[in-house]
Amino acid sequence: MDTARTIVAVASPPGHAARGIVRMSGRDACAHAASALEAGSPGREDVALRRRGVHAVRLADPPIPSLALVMPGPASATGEDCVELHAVGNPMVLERIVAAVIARSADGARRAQPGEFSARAVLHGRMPVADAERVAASIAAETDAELAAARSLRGARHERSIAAAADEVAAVLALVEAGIDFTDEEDVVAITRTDLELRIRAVAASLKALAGSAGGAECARRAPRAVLVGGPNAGKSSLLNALAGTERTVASPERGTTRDAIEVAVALPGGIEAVIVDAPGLDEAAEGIDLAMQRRAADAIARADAIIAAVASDAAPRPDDHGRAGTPTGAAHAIDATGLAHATVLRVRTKCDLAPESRNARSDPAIRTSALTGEGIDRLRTELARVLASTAPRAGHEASLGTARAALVEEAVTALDDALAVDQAELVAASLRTALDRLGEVSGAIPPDEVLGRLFAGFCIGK
Amino acid sequence: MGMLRADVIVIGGGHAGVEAAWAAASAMGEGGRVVLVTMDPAKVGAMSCNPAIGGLAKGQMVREIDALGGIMGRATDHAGILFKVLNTSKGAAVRGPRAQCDKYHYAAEVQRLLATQPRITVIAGTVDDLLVEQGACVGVRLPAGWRRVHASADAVASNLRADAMARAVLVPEGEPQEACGLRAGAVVLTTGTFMRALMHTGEERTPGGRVGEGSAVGISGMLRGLGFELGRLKTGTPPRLRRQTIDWDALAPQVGDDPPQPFSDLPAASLARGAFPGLPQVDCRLTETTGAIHELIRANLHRAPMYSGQIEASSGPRYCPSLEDKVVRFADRDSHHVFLEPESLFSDEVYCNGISTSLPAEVQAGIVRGMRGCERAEVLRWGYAVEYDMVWPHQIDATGETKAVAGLYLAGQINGTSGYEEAAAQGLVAGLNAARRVRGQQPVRIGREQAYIGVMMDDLVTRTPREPYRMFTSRAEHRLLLRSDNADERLTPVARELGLACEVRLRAFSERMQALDSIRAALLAVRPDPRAAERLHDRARRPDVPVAEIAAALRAAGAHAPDALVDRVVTDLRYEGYVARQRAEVRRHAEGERSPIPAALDPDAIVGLRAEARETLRKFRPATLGQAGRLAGISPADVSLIAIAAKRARAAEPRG
Repeated sequence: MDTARTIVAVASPPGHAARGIVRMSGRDACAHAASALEAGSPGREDVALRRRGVHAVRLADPPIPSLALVMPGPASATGEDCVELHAVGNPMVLERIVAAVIARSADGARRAQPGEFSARAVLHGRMPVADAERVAASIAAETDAELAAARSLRGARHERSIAAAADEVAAVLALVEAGIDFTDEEDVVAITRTDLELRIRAVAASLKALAGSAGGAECARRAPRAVLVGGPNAGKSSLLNALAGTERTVASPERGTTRDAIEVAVALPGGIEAVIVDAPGLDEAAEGIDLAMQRRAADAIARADAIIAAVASDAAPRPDDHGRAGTPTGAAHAIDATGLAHATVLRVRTKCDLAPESRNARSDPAIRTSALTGEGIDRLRTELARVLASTAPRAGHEASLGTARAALVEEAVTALDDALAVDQAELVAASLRTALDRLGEVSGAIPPDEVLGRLFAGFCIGK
Repeated sequence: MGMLRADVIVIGGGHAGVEAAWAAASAMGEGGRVVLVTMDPAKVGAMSCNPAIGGLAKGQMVREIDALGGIMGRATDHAGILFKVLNTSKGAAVRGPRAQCDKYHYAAEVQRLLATQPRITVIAGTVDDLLVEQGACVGVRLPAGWRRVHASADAVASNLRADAMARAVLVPEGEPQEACGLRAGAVVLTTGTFMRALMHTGEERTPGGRVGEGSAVGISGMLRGLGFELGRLKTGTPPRLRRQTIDWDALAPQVGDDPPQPFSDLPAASLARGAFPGLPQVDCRLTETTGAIHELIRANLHRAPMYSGQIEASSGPRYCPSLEDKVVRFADRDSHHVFLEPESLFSDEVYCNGISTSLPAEVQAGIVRGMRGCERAEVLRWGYAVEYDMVWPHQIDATGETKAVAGLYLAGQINGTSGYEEAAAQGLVAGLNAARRVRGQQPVRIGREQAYIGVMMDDLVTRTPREPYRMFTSRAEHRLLLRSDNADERLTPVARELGLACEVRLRAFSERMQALDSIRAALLAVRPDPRAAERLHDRARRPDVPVAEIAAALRAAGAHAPDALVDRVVTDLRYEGYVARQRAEVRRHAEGERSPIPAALDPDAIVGLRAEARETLRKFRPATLGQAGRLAGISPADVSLIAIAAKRARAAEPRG
């Protein structure tokens, strides 16, 4: 884990909003933040001098007013210097701020990986281990979800092009390495300079074209999402674990164990990769639960392609249940509030091992499930696959992944240009390796071992 | 049954075993006792295959072993008969020194060096059991028949002559002894190719790890009994020819460097003969295989043990293929180079580099006679394949210590590697750590950015080899940092801290560092053209300016500027930008490399970990977060989860 550099990322939820946040954390976070502000802008010095508080500032690019929230370490959320820039909640603007901070800080700042702010908080002892475990589980699930999203993109043209480019760079690198490591062998000329240049130029050109169009709609495709809603102790976490076949979330009989939205990637029948979101807080308004949590839940529902409404089989019937056939009260309100006609609602009676099937079961459209015995889980998976298969790709949510990917592709192109600028084989190889690492971050790593493997396959080497 | 005591026991006297004993003896310090148990003391330090040390990446490793106070470089400087730096047309980072040696002088010098270290006792014998108490290895059992060994002063004296055959220095003495136990704080096991070894020449099979020597059968069973998962690998060796029967003069000579460059940083005056090189230099010869030879091999392929299914091991090394492998896999080629390398100045054995084979003797005879210059060649020893048991290396840590049995260390071919240099480097790491364990000190892991040795140890513990592991420069992601010429800068300070470097080495090192500093200063001060602003430093950075020109200008300005040191400073300047980038990369990951994962951490107790990551953790049991992150099947998000769990586990550990 790289903890030396300042990390920066858009910290507000994706999509347009009244206000958006770019957050950074690290030893030099204040200097990096200041570098992205307009010279002479009033609060710039306060930021540069690490003055705790909220300062009115102007961004350098685009030149718009913004608020800078400075929290010097170690008494900050991450234990390091933290700065938040609050600006208009336009994804393009926020992305430009992130890019500007990285560009202006030379080697000093980089994009944060999923959950890295929390990881730093843990490492600096700013977050109790128990909390951290829960957050980290959610982070890991989020990463899985992104991987699933990337996998679901595999058929897409961009994904294929990046994988093909990585393959070609690996092939060229293998030849360069052959020229370095196996020169004692016979008359092998692994690759001529002319071939090397031709092949690198061709890859670089294809990647440049790709980076130019990376903001396009195709990159914005994403895995379909289903949100789990249900009252406290409706058995959502257990149901999620049963659906996913893993134990990412912390299922506990204690009410309200799940405090943050948790996303888990699941493979459904028919080859459908979906993300299931477990969002807490919908039914807890009356008990004074944090407003922000409710907002997050509502947001999760707004982004959903399907809703799984869970009610425990042993739960006391509520007056509302009769009228609304098992939709939990809060969820129903939330759904009403966001007015989501597009999301199909699947009703589920959980913990059916606790209650015998009732006589009017046939009239109840809910799927009966038990995470304990596994009953009904397959049926729910099939139903979910059917519902999500018809879901058209929804644009917009993948913007941040798209830009991050484009940035990696651009870094790869720069490294390929570096490779063309030098003669010595070991320096060419160093730059090709960098390019391959960056492409690997997009489409899966190619370790040195595999490069060697390609080499062995093609050459008679060794005496 | 009697009981003897030692601090560290090393089993095996090959290249891994001798470096292990040497490093352990140095690290133990005054009063330490290291016992080396070997089947045949005369074979200690033997070069059982190619009589050469070094090569690309391997040469860098020998320089690293030397910088860490090891003996391989010294023995090579003493016994080398053809020194050549490979890849001189490429940048300094990928040049590798190599030396062909007189194999008898090499082994004799290794034996002499061991005898100069009073903390090392050599025993001729075998081991028939490991003593394990409460999960820790506390010694071995020596069956009846073992003997004490002494160093022959006569042999040492006569081996100093550079014009005669070398004799074995280590000689068994006295009566065979009764069976007894030998207790120690740590045991280093280096079985080479001897565990359940089986040699194949055509249909003929002979138990044994080397021609004329035995096989260690019991150790496999012992290790299995301790719960280790064993594998089986195969390697091979070519036929040896009689020099006088080769038409030597008809073949093109391959000459060494003039002047040759030594491997060791020790001053030549401190080598055994007080001079480098220690022996007269010779050349080797080049011949080749032909289409007719390849035809002969194809016609007899069904008699090759690898193809007939006679060998259990699934694959041989892809980088060092047998001739039959080459003929099958590269069917379009009708000729391969064969280097004829003398194995000694004073014997008539010639090694045929390039035709490792396990075909039947009469086929081998046909192959040899088909090569130009070898039409009448007499074969002294047939080539053969050997298969042997090894321990899958995910069961050791990068210190060489096994995860299942504390105090038991494995080094060399037992860990699935190939090559003298790879074995020696592991021996050094294991011997050092064995001594540190006995002394109650923290284990030492060498980083991937510090040395090829670190790359190898880390590769061994984070990925499962499909074939014997050999070092290549392309395995090192920080290759530009790991040059052969700067091994001392990287590792001698480490050696000083660990007690591995002697006074002579440290004094020479600090003089060399001062000389480099004064060259750097002179580059900044000297202007080649007094009227121009350009300093020598600026010229040195330009890749098109020859290093000789820079050195000459420095000397003209009165600076002490030997070519090798100027070359080093100039290389530093020319790599500067790349090196800075690689160092930044290293710093970024430094924290993970330093963060230990407690051995007792239960993967099942890590909240939120995926089943695949859990399985991988259970199998590899990484020692640090850095190791964990390099395992296939562990994502960066998984590393965060493991980091938190490790933090929790550390917090729960009892203090003190």
